[in-house]
Amino acid sequence: MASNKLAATITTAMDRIDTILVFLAQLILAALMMLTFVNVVGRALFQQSLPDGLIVSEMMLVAIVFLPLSYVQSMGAHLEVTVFTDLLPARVQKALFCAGLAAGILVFGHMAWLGWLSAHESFKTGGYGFSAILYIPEWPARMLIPLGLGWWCLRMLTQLIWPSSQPEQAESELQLALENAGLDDQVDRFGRRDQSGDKR
Amino acid sequence: ATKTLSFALPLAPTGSRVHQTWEWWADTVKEKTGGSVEVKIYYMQSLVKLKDAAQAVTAGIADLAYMSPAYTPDKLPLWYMENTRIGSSDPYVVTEAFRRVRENFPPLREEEKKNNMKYVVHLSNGPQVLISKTHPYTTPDDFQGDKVRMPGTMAKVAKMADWKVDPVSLYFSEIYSAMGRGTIDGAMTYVPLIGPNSQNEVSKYVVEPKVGQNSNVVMMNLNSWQRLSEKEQAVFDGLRTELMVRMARAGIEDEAEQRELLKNDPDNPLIFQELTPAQRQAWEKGLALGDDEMIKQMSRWNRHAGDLHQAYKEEIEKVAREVEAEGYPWDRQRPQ
Amino acid sequence: MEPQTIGIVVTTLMILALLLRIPIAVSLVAAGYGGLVLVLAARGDDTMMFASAFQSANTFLGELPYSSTAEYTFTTIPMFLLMGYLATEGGFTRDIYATARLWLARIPGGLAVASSVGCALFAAISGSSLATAAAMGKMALPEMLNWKYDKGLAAGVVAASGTLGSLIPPSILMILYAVFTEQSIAKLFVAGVIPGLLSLGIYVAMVMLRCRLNPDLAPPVPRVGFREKIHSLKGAWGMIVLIVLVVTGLYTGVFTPTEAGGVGSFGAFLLCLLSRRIGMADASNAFKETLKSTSMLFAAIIGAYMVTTFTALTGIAGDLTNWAAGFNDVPPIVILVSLSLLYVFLGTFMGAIEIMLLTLPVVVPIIKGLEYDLIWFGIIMIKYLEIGLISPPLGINVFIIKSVAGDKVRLAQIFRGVTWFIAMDILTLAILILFPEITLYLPSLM
Ligand code: NA
Ligand code: NA
Repeated sequence: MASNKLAATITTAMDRIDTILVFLAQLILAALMMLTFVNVVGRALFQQSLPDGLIVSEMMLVAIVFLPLSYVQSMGAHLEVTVFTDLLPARVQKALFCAGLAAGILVFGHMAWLGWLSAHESFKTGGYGFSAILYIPEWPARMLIPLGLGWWCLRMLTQLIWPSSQPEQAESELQLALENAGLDDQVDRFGRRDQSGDKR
Repeated sequence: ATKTLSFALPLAPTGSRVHQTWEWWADTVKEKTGGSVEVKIYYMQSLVKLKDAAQAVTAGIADLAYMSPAYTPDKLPLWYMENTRIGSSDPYVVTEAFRRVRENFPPLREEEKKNNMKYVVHLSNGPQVLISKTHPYTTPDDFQGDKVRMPGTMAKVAKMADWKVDPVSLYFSEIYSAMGRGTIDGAMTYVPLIGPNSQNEVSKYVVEPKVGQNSNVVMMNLNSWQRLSEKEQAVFDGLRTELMVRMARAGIEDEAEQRELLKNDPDNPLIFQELTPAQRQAWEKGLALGDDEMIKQMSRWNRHAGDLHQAYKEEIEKVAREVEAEGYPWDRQRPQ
Repeated sequence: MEPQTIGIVVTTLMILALLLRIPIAVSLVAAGYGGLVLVLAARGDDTMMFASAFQSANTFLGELPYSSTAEYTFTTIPMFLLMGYLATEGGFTRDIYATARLWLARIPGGLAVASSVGCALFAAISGSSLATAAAMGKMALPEMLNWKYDKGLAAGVVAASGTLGSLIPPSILMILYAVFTEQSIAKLFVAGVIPGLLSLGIYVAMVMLRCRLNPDLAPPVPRVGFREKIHSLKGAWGMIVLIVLVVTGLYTGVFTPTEAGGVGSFGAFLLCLLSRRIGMADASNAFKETLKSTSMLFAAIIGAYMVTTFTALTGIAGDLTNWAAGFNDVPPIVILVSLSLLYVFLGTFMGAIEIMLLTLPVVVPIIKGLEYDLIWFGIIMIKYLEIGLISPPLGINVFIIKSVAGDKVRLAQIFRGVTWFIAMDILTLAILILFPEITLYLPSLM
């Protein structure tokens, strides 16, 4: 019981931090959209392009990819193949899921550490991207990689230690069909589904 | 047993002289080592991307790779200095000059070692040229506010020299579509790349300021090098200068051939604009600022950058005079 | 150990891990890393050089997450996804699908047909199959599911029709091929148009036939009067404005295909604001969902890049190509068929660009030797590569559809759904191979 309470506390805290990370990533995604648009308008109307637009876009993409990794994990949304494991008993499925977590921690923990070494090296030299105009250093973008990967690994670790913090196991084909049948009741006369029934 | 060395090249195997020279080199290595070393070429960045090539050699993912120091200025600042913004654009002149400078410049060798690299050969892409659709850019004044695709280094020069141009950053492969649809009015490119990238289909004029050039280098992973026997190493060392000279010649001849083909293309002929000395000087004036900027930037990472540039510049002038007086080495050998 | 052996063993283990529900990103990175270590270690003459191999693989692994994501062309994926999510949150896709449903009531599987045609239109905007699948997948799939279409059909049609992105110009793959083979990009682009439309036509015919035979796949629509149809057009304006904006901007050169995603998503954002259809919470949700899809997708893409680098070093692609094309004294068609099999096989576990670059040095001289037209072969090649995008276990387009579908559709359902389309692709390929004039007609006019 005590461990469950601890798990809940930790999960809540991690969710809060993920909210912040995802919010940051949302801002950067919006900035990427605006950057492209402003660059296009500037070039077409004022014959003025944004300097280093290409390089900055690439850095933003790194943030967009790595900041939400743990959030995706908490939703149980990372891509996996369940066609074969669906046929297995629930206990085996659970074991395989935990094996996946352990493998994930190993693989991406390793990558996070190596990514940190690489980012730290870049911080020391202050290196910038190819053919830069503004000489924006690469290290801030590179630092997001060990941050995002490391945080993701911690999330996997909590899920491994406290199964109660695992996302709901994806349903079997049958359950999914039943659930959809339930949702179908909420389809209106025009066949539109009630929006609230569509989301979790 | 045969040692197979992977060699990452960005080039497409199109049968150009430069391509044939790489094949010649790989064959000769195999022949002279009695088949104990085989160089397996991966064309068109199919092993690693050009931007990752330096890292791949340092790590040993590729045994050999053609790399552009511009992608990793913080790691190869001195090798970056083989690029020039002004001065001769002749591939033989600059590569021979840099070869001589390298012999007497220990910091360059230290840089190679620090990156776990063994120097193999260096080569020049030759000068960048300007293609355009409506009018030729004979001097920077001709830009007239046009949107021109150029690399960041040139965009920097344009800004410092106050050229009236909108420098657009695009991938090289995007030039074709962007010029075709009018997203850009002109682009910086290289003569041998115009045809294979269909850029002549979307442009009309070519201006060759012929000042400065971009160079690249081929390095081998140091551990891979140390795994070779002394005899095998001697083969690589023995072929180095010949490979460099053959590459320079191949580059010069490929470019001349492409120029003729493009001028006489039945469907999309290009007009190559001859420049007067005054027009060339107009380009030099701005580009000289680029040289200063390059020294300033690379000095952040290596204090010898300025010295290297000075020595290189002097040597370029020396070799240029030699070539003017005696011709290229391959022309010199012919009468024998 | 021979590199080829390592390649086969590691790939088998990877597939096993995937089947045992080890997340795709984890399986791919682990396989790529392990394989790389083994291949590098095996380069020592007699002994395995593990110490230096680990060092090399580690340096590579540390650089990989940055070098494989900081890639300008990849920005199209989150941008087009965002456009799709915003258009969905704002109800614009719902409206246009409601309209399409009424207008296409007579056509069996009308919405699947509409989605397929939508992909073809989108392909004319975007240079990549991935971007096409991302944008259309987000917009089309939930609507089809909403109207109770069969999941496999709904997901399959967007995953497969997304591959039109590379066949209908503009096309990044075609530019690479043209540079490699020194062909005119313009001619290659034009050559893609008829095969693209043919692929579309065959997809559509198959969908209609299947839905006619089995109405459960796509519930029939009650007929409505003409007035009601006209009335329904009112809802379609939003998407039409957006499409016209993007297509016009692209073809008049205001922006490039890579920038189209940013402009499209901003356009969708403005539409939502101006029509007051969504508030900050909905907009924020669209951004969040985009991030979720992008993040899970790129985790897999990083792994795919790792596997591809490892496979390149094993030399399998080159060896197989040499073998597949090395028959002497056989009719040319035999070599073409063996090449077809080779590409479909390589497509199961390697990325499209890498397959092309690794095989072209061997294949192009052979095609030249057989005196085939290189423009024609370019189109065939693209078609081969596109099949790889939807074939298991490594089918990036299928991953994209899964990443936008969430847990509403399972990966296996999508793969099952695309099987029908792969069969149609093979039919299209056979037609294009047997009648080269179909491909070469338009370029011959230039
Ligand atoms: Na396209
Ligand atoms: Na595949």
